[in-house]
Amino acid sequence: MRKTSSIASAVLIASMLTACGSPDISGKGTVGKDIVPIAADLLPPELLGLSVQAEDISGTIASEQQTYVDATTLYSLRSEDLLQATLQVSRFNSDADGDSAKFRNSLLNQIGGSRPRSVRLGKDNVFLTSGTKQQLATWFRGEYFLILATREDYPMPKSLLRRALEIQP
Amino acid sequence: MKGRAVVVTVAMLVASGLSACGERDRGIVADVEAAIAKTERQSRRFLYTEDLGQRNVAVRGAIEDDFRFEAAVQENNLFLLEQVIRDDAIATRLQEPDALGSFASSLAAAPPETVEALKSKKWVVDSIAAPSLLLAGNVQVVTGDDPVYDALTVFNYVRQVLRQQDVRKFDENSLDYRPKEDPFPKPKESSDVDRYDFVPGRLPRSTDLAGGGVNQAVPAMQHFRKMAIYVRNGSVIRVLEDIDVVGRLDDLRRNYDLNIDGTDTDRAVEVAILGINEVRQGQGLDLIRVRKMSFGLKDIGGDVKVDLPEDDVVAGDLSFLKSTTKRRGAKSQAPTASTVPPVETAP
Repeated sequence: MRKTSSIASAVLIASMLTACGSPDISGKGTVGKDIVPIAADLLPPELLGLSVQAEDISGTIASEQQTYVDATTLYSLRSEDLLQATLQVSRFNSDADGDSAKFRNSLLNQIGGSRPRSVRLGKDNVFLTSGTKQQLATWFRGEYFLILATREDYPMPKSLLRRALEIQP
Repeated sequence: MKGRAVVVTVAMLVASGLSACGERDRGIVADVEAAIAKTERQSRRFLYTEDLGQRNVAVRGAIEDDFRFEAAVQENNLFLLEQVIRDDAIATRLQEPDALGSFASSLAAAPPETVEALKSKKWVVDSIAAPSLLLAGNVQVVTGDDPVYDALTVFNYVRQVLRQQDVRKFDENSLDYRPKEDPFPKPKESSDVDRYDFVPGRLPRSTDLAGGGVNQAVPAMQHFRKMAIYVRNGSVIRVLEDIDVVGRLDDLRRNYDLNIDGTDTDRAVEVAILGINEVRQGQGLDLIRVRKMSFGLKDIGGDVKVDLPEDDVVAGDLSFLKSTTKRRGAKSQAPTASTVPPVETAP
């Protein structure tokens, strides 16, 4: 595992669904140190020509309290040494109501700096927003949610997203 | 006994009419929004036309999903341009070489070899110049500037109209309905098509103020716009719009003391809109576009596939076109095919 970069940790922290602010979840949720990685072989070694590597984010998430996630992995996607994108794959824990629109909207509204916009790609609904010099795409797969962050100047963000949608956690 | 029954009947009628009124409008707006949302979630083919009197534009196209769509543009029945967008790639073929300027943001920025290929009517493919993932929120696109954009964003336009004008379900037996003022076809009797009508708003008077009481209130599109949306099986199959200035000439004459007596109707419309648009331009507002617009949909939910052309293709840099991502420096203008709004903010 590679030590996480600043862009990767920023994406992850913004995307974690903490239980803070919810009045009835005291004692619930998963603390950061109990969050485990997703299966290491979920992604192929290359995605659209970008090398894929799981990042070590254990230090970054260790201090998180009461999250709705019990497993997560952040993958970096690089061309040579340049970080072009990250893909976060997270699994909801049993406290999460991952199928409800309200819960999902609450999650989506924590991601990025603008209100998410829904687009249809094949049979998938993907929610697009933007972060600092990056574009963010979020989608749901059963008990999982995935967030693809691509550099603003990465030339093929939609093709990469299309490939990422093929991943079945 | 008989008289009492009549009183009860009348009372019930009035009561049901009152209770239905407020809820009915909200329900109709929701119905229209739901029909738009359902249609957007499906592949489809479309034909968009805009009739400006002296000039008419047609865009025929297909949408596989929000990143894959194609369009062909005609003006005054002259075939001008075809475009295919597939994920990050955009392909363009020009059928009328002289029309290139009207589709370019800046011809000066166009690579000569790309211009040459386009003018020789070859397909030019740029593998990374498709419209951006995100439409910048501060970008305002003027209707008519890019017909492909206009055709792809009709539902956004309708949503905007939904916020501006009242909408009613078509009912030719309604006391409000005036057949002579209805420019649109009625659904056939016993058909499964529902029609929804947008009602033009009351024209402002010359003494009305807007902009926080600073500016004179000036007529806008919503004061002239007649629009009908046809829905079948919960999906939108047709949108028709008529910016009807003729029907408002008497109101304009009265409200604004317009001196258009004795002029023919076409000239009167021209004079009225010229005057209104001068004021609107001075106030930094978008101009009124007198037009008839039609947007028809078919093969909704069908097997619509959009592929890049393979024959007679050259690679090129198309980032100088209006409908590209402008990834090489400028801000994005072109959207995805989607017109889906942002998700609701969670409570």
